[in-house]
Parts: sequence; structure tokens; C-alpha cells
Amino acid sequence: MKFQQQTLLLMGPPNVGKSAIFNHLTGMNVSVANYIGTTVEFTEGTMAMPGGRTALVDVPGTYTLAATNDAEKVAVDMLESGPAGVICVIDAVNFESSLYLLLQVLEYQLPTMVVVNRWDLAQQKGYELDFGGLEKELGIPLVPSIAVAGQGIPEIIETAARMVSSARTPSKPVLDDEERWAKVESMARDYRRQKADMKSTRREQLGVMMVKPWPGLPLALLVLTVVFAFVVGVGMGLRQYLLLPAFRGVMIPLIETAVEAVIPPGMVQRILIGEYGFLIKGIEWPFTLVLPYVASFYFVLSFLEDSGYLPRMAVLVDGLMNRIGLQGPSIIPLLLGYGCGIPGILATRALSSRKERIMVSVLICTAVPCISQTGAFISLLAAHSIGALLGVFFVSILAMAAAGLIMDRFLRGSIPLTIMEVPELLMPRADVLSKKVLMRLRSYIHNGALPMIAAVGLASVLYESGLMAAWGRAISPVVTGWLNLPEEAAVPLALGILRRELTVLPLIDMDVTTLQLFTGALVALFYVPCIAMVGTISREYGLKLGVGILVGTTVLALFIGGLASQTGLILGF
Amino acid sequence: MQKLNDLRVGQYAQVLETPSHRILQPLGLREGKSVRLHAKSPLGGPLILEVDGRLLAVARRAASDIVVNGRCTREVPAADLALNGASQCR
Ligand SMILES: Nc1nc2c(ncn2[C@@H]2O[C@H](COP(=O)(O)OP(=O)(O)O)[C@@H](O)[C@H]2O)c(=O)[nH]1
Repeated sequence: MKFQQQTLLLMGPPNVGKSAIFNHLTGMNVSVANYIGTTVEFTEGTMAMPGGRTALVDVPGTYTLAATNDAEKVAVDMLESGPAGVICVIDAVNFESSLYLLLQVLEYQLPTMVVVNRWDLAQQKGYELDFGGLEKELGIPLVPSIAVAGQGIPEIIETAARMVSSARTPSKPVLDDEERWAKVESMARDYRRQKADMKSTRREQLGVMMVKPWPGLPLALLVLTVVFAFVVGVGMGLRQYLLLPAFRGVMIPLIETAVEAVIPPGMVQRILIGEYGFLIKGIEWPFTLVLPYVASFYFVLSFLEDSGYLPRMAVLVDGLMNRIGLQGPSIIPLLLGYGCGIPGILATRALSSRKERIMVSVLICTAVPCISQTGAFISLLAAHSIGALLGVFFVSILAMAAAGLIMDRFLRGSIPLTIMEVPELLMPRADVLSKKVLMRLRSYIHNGALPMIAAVGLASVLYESGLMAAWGRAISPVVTGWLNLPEEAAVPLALGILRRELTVLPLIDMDVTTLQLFTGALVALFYVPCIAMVGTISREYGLKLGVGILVGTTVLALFIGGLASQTGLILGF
Repeated sequence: MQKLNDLRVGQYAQVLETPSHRILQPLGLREGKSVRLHAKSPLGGPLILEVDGRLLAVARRAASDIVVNGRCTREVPAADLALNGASQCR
């Protein structure tokens, strides 16, 4: 590959704050792409400098340039594609390993500058850095920064502009691996000093506690409980006191009056504001039943992500996950899947083996409900029976373990050894957090709510035209006979293919028993993931797996749903 | 020879030999470094280590390839290591 236009590379080890710097340096039009022939993603944007614009590529973070894995190969390939220069970010805290990466980058003899980030954390730990000395020794420009606070950003831009225009290349250090480490360690001794008698901070002690089995495991249970309670509690509060009054009290009567004033009673009016009227249900469902839980879930998830807690949880469950052929870090895509399956499936790209990627993706498709669906479960079940709600999640976890064991048996490949850094525990910053949550909410409205409105619109046409009733009669043996649901529950089964939560939401307006609700929720849980997820799976792993999931989940959902319903009836629920 | 996974929880040690590996060296598990074993994760999960103020999780099977000297009762100060090399612990 060759870069088409003037391009700067932003490089550095994982967790150094590269994305934070990238976001400060680039403007709005940022694109994420897959590097040709790999699952490695990289981000590209435009950076405005004095003297013109330049493309800036956020190179995947790597510890070395040994090209022993895909991310490293991509990094090396980019260095060899003729960039105008490199901005190499090093970590003031994990100083030695990032200097090592820098020395490797310098061997490519490109115009290079250094950014020493996380300077605030290094100070907290009592480190003093001699920036001037280090700059002189390296022979390239150096800028200290605190990316989360925006400190050092203008200096980075200015220095980058000078670097590009002078196009001066550093002299090439020729070192073998051992010499490189020796040089790194001597530089660390010469230019970084730790004040004597620094005690570890409370934050650091807490960070260690949370990853030890005791008290880490009970803490993890506590965290999960708090998360669940927060998502349900805050979601319900938002719905009850904010969204329901706003929509039922104001928006919907307004819409009804407006439609009645313009459109005469009849089929068209019923399509708009009748039973499945898409101006009514199409607005009420996505915004009052689902949105509150989307908001509360993404708030907690983003908080956990930014605090560095998730890798700790990954380490705690690593041993357990190994039993089903997975590594601890695969809980991160699974957790994301509880938000939306698509980011979950895409996040499996960071996992280390193909077997693991496929397993986690299949688990997300079958047994992990997305937040839209969970919101629907809560709306549907919580009022009737909290037990039934917990029951659904219990069955989901049971199914995940079973599916994991089965797939581990049949898919080839061994588990790679877990060797990972546990990043520092940090208090997320309110501004960064709120930006992230807002971005995710916007994405829900775009990719979740709008398709939901469209799907309800389609349903409303099918319903009013009588096609839905015909479909209902056709599959009524399954629906009424096997699942013991009312005949009109055939409608949501058809809708569920478009959007996961639509398998459940219509049941809310039907007159059904708790057992029927539970059955409906179970069917929904295992039923076809929405069409967009099947598309993502087919794109990532080929059409065969996509179709397999489509058929497999339908059969599984009807089987488990019926089983629960029949058992429930026998037990006299 | 004493291996990293022979250490007791809470014990300090000095790394004597690490197999060449993609990320073991960059994460700080290099000859001469002082390491502390914080915990062993449940169900055969990874060891929790601290090297140079950095927390690591290292699978037990990988740790069994790392040779250490566990006769250090406390952290070996970096300055001493620099002066006296690997013969620090007594
Ligand atoms: N205290 C502090 N935190 C930072 C700094 N730069 C980044 N972070 C945080 O470190 C974490 C990792 O940053 P990110 O940009 O995602 O790292 P990347 O993996 O290099 O892209 C995030 O939680 C950031 O908010 C910094 O200079 N100081």
C-alpha cells in the first residue's frame, strides 16, 4: 500500500491515550475502516495545521513492531507506506516499554516527534521527568501532554507542522533487541526519577484489590447487582416520570388530534393511529419503552469502560471462561452485546483466535438479549413478577454455558495463553463520559429507533390489510397449540425478524398470564436476532453462518419456549 | 530452579530468565526486574503480578517458563539493581 495524500501516523502502545489525542487533533470527518485483508481496524481523520491540512491515521496500538500479530503487521505496513511523519506517543507512567516502541519506530527513519502523555498520572506517582535531557538524547522534538485535559495539544499541532515542513529524519539507531532494552533502561534511569518513599495511592490499592479473588470476586458480584439495579431502577424512573408523561400526555394526543383533523376515519387513519398505528406504537415503543433502558444501560457501561474495571472483571473470570474454551477478555464483547449485538460482534475482532470470535458471536446472537429487548422484558415482566424477569436472565446464562461447552467440543483450535496488562483504575471524567453516552444514544436513535418505527409501519399495513391475520392462522398450531399463546401473538413472531424487541412488545397490550409472558420472553430471547445482526454475522463470517443462525435460532426459540410453556402448565402455573 | 508460579501470594522476587515472547518483555518481565505476586486467580486463572508499578495478568502456564529468585523479602530498589545487576537477593 502507498498513502495517496500527505499522511501523519499516530503511533503508541495500547492504553497510552492515543484515541484521546486523536480526537483532539482531528475534526469531524473521522472514518473507521478495516485494514485490507485483516480484521484490524484503524481510524483516519483530518488534522488542521498552520500551513495546511494533513491526513492523520490512528495506527492500532502495539507493544512492539515485531510483526508477530495482525495489529503489528498493520503498523509495520503503514510505516512502510510512505507517511510524511510519525507522532509517537509514549507513556510517562509505563515509560520503558513505550521508549522501546519508540526506538523501533525511529529505525524507519521517518520525520518523527514524541508526545509524552499521561504526565499527570506520572506526577501522582512521584515521577520527575527531564524532558529537555530526553529530547536532546533522542534528537527529535518532544512535547509533554495530558490528553484528557487537552493539555499539550496546541504544541503537538505546532511541532507536527514544523516537523512536516522540515522533513528532517532522525539518525538511525541500529540495535539488536538486547541492546535496545539496555538503552531503554539507561534512558529511564537518566531522565526519569521517582521521589523517594512514594507510597502507593489509594486508587492504586483499590485497583489491586479489585482484581484479586478476595475481595475482587464478591465485589464483582456487587458491581453486577448494582449495574442491574441501576439499569432497571433508573430506566423505570425515566420512563415513569419523564418519558411516559411526555409522550402519552402530550405528544400522542397531539398526533391523534392532528391526524383525525386531516384524515377521515378508515384504513389509512387506522394505519396511522389505530391498533398498530405507527404514529402511536411506532413512537411509543422506541421512545417510552426502550429508550429509558438504553440510556441507563449505556451510562453504566460507559462508566465501567472508562474506569478500567472491565479488564479486571475479565481477569477474574478468565479461569471460568477457559472451561468453555474462551479467555476472560471475551466477556467484553459479551457485555457490549447486552447493549447491541452489532458492536458486540465487531468487538470480537480484538479477541485472539478465530474460534473464540465465532463462539462469542454465536453466543451474542442466541442467548444475549440486546438492551432494546431487555427494556421490553422489563416493561413486560417487571410489573407482573420480578421472579419471571430474573428467570429469563437465568435461562440466558444457562444457555450460554451450554452453548459454550457444545461449541468448544466441536470447533477446532486451542485457547491462547492469557497475558495482558491490567490498566489503571481511573475515575471517568464527566465530560468524556457524557460525550460517549450521547454518542451512543444518537446511534440508538439512528440505528435502533428509526428502523423500529419503519418496522411498526410495515406491521401496521400488514395488520390493517388482513395479511397478518392470515399469517396468524397459518402458524396458529405452533402459537396456540405448542406455545399456548393467544393467536394474535403470531404477529410479533413475524415482526421479531425485523427488530428483536418487537417479538415481545406487542404482548404488553394483550391479555395474557404470567406464564404466557414468560414463554413469550423466552421465545424472544432465543429467537432470530434482528436482521441487521444476521447481516453483520454474514459479513464477518460468511453467509453460511448467517443462514445457520437464522434457522438455528428460530428452531431453538420455539423449542425452548414450548418446553417452558408445557412444563409450566404441568406444574400448574 | 524457582519459577514464577512457585511463588507464594504476596512474595517479591527477581526475574532471572524470561523466554522471548511478543509481549512478556514489553510488559516488564525482563531479567533483573523486581516482581511481586499479588494473587492467583480462581479456577486456574492467571497470576496477578506487579512489575514496575504495572499490574499484569499472566497465565500460569506462561509463568512456569519464567525463572525467578524468590529470596527477596521486599521490593528490590531499582537503583540497587542498576548498580549490582542480578545478584541482589540474599
Ligand atoms: N489521567 C490521564 N488519563 C488519560 C490521559 N490520556 C488518556 N487517558 C485515559 O486513559 C484511557 C485510555 O485512553 P485511550 O485514548 O482510550 O487509549 P488508547 O488505547 O491509546 O487509544 C482513557 O480512559 C483515557 O481517558 C492523560 O493524559 N491523563
